[in-house]
Amino acid sequence: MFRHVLLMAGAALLFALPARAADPQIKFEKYQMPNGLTVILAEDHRLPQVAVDIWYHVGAANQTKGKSGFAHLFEHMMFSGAKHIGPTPFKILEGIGTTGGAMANGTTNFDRTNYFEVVPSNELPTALWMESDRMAFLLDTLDEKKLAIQRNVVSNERRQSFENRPYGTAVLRMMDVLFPQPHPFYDSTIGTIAEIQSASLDEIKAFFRQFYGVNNASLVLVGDFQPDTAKKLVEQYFGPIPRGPEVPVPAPNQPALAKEIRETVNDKVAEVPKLGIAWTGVRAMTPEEPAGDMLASILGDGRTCRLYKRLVLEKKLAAGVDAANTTTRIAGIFNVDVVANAGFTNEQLLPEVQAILDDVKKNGVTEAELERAKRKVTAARLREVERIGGFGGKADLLNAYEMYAGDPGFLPKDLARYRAVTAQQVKDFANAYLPDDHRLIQFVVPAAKTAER
Amino acid sequence: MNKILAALLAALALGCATTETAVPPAPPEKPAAPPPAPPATPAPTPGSPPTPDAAFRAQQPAPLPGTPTFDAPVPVVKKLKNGVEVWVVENPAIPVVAVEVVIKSGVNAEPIEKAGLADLVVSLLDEGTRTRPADKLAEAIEDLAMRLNANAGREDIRVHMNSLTEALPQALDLMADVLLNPAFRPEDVSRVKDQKITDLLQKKGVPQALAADEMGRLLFGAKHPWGQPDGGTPETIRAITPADLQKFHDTWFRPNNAVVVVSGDVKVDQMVKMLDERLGAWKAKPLPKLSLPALPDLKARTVTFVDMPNASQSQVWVAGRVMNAKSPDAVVLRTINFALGGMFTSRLNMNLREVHGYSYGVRSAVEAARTYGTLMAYGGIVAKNTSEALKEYEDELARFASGGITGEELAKSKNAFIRTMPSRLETNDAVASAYGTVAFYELGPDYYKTLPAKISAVTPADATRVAKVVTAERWPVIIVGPAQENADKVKKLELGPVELKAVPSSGGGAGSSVGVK
Repeated sequence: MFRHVLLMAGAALLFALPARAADPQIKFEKYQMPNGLTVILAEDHRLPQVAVDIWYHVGAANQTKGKSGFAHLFEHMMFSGAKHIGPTPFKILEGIGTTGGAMANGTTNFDRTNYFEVVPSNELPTALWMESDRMAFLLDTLDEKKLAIQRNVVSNERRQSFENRPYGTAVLRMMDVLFPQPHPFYDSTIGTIAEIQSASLDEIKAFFRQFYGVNNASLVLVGDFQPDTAKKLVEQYFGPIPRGPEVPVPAPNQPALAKEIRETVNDKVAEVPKLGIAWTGVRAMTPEEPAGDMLASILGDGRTCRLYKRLVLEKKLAAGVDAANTTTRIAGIFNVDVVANAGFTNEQLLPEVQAILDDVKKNGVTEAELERAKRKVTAARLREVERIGGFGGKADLLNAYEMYAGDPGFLPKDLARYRAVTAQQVKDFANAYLPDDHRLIQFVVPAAKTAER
Repeated sequence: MNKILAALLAALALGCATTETAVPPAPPEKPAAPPPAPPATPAPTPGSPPTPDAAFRAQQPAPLPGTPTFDAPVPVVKKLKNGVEVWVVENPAIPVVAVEVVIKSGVNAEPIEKAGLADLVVSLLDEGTRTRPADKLAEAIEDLAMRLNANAGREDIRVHMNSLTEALPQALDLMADVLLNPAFRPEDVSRVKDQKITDLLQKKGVPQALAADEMGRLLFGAKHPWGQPDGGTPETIRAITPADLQKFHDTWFRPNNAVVVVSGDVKVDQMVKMLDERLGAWKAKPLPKLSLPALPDLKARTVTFVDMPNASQSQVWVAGRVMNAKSPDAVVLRTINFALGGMFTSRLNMNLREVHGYSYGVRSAVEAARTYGTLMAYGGIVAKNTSEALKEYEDELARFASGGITGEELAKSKNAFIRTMPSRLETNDAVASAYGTVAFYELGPDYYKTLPAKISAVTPADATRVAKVVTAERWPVIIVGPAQENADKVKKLELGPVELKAVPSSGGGAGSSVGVK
């Protein structure tokens, strides 16, 4: 039925466009070990490599008051070595020919922390040896000295990636306004330097024991392996790890903005103003999520979006625009960003952005806009499965669908969610979630030019 | 877009997942120090029982039987009716097709008073054609969910397209239109120029970009197009007219100056036919001969210090010119560079980061291009350690040049080079771009197929001989960082005259950090 609706809706446009290809399919096998480890295997023999990708279901959402940045700080500790593998996992990886940050790394977001490496297919045992060692034997060598080093590394990361990057400070400030303490998103995933520096060894160890249990993880292998061999190796390295405490999914926690808040943020690094508007949004996998994504795309993606057309093409006020519908397991954010062209001010941008928002709420979006946004989602998924792993790729997609939908094979259902979105739902989303009287407006200005705002 | 996926892609500023920030440095350690003695097993804690240790965990496991081999694809080479060479890799794995068009002229064809011209030309290709205004062209492109972008390099321009197979004919129509018929309408030119000037202003705060500009000037000369700030300056951008853009396009975008590389879910003959149909109207025209100034001799060493008073880090770069891609030694240098600064356990990184803790990472990179080559050692250094770090760069570069690398380092370098090759050719985009480079450099369609054997064949004697191209004692040093606490200490190293400069006030600095790859 949804497909029927779509074909009706998009008929005028589809007339000129090619037929749609079949959805990408990923064949996989999923099982759970007695200790609770979820294992997902997907053979892909195009390259002589295996992508190993472990997701621990812990992120900023699991942090408590006074512990901002903890999940991310902990990610760094996982690169400080373990009992058998020694102090430097990267040395082991380079020893087997896995070189560079794109082939081996870790990332932290609001919901989860992941660790991945793409290894030559015959070196799968070493990858599993390394990952199981830091899952089971991390605390054996974790000491005050290692923690002190990483506290400083992460503090410097905050300085480099946020405080000394144009508009980075504004991102942190936006999170503080939308998610005031004690909400765990306060100061985003990076955290405040004071709280990072106050992390004690006992607290870090307790965090590991609470959240890094084998049963709070899912292990994905994608690539050139024989399933029987891979299963035996996974059993050998992960089977003996005893189950840890149960980790409940964090409860939804979406604060509301009581009114419209207008703020000026002085940015020491930026050279031109930026206007940011943010609202509290919706959670991942809620019925409204796809409509929100479509709205973000129609407002802020590419060079056909409404913000670009009006502010960049027609009025020539802006150098760049963006809109995002960020969804997590406990809360969401919808935001719009416009970077001014040199010589223009936020006061000139705001009425133009407001007019676009008013129009979407009053008149909705066109079928052509919606169809375009849907095609972009489908194409993005297809391109995503071209790579086995690294940042993104098939491995992360399987892990994401496992965590958010409980089904690594959710891809076709996910695309169906998007195909089912109607123009009315997009309009409804704008009216429900983008109210003028409950939002944050940020006027980001180069620090020396505050007077002009 | 769906932010579950965006989070996967880790592109969100809210996350912490860029390569640089997500890789935490390991703790400093003495290279020869024994591994720490394992402490007593920690006491069991509630909810987290310890894993019983086992003998098999004590040692790194042996690899599985068999050696993984990677057979790089060999493109089929054809010619279009108008003479354009077309390289095609058939890859039916995923229903997408990538196309890379190489125009064999780039920044080298710019007058220096119009620096940034090639970049502006490529930025305007998809801002409107003779039959499609900018907004309609953008709609046509996005309706197909295709990707189209273009970049200008020192010697070449790349127009790259990626389309779903189902939309390939329409996508090729648009690509051909953009390639052959850009309109350069005055209102679009003016708008894009304003955006470029805003971008150039924003670059004043990016030390890597400023260092890259200095490197270009020092290695290629202030009178050479490659010696100009990347992307030009606000002044040179303002000087460019729509007629300049049209002339550049008309002169250099010619079938006799192009090669097309395709990788994806398509058959060779079908692809050639589709390209013939769309590029048939593209007519050859003799190319003017460029007369470029000779590259400067790097004889008398200089230290250029760009003062950024409040920076918490200094960019410290040492760079020189080496052989181009045609030289058989290029493969040797690229191999042994892994040991110098091409991986985490390289000499530069272990020294500067692990032993001394001066940096979060120091690397070296070789670019062996069609007519030139560069080698650069570069990294961000904790500001107060700027001169001490530079001394360590010097020692490592000299040790490398005089002694080459050890047998163990050579083996590890070969392994790293050979085993990262599958990842570097994983996607159709990557294959089309990589073979675009191979075609432009005239290295032959079997280049990647035969490369592993060439890497394996590098001998210790080759390594020692080729390492001597690193004549760092004559190469320029570039520092971008706080001068007050560091300039005198750098002078005391007596590497050469130290020139102190301010950050260019007009934002004449470089764009993206050239060479930091």
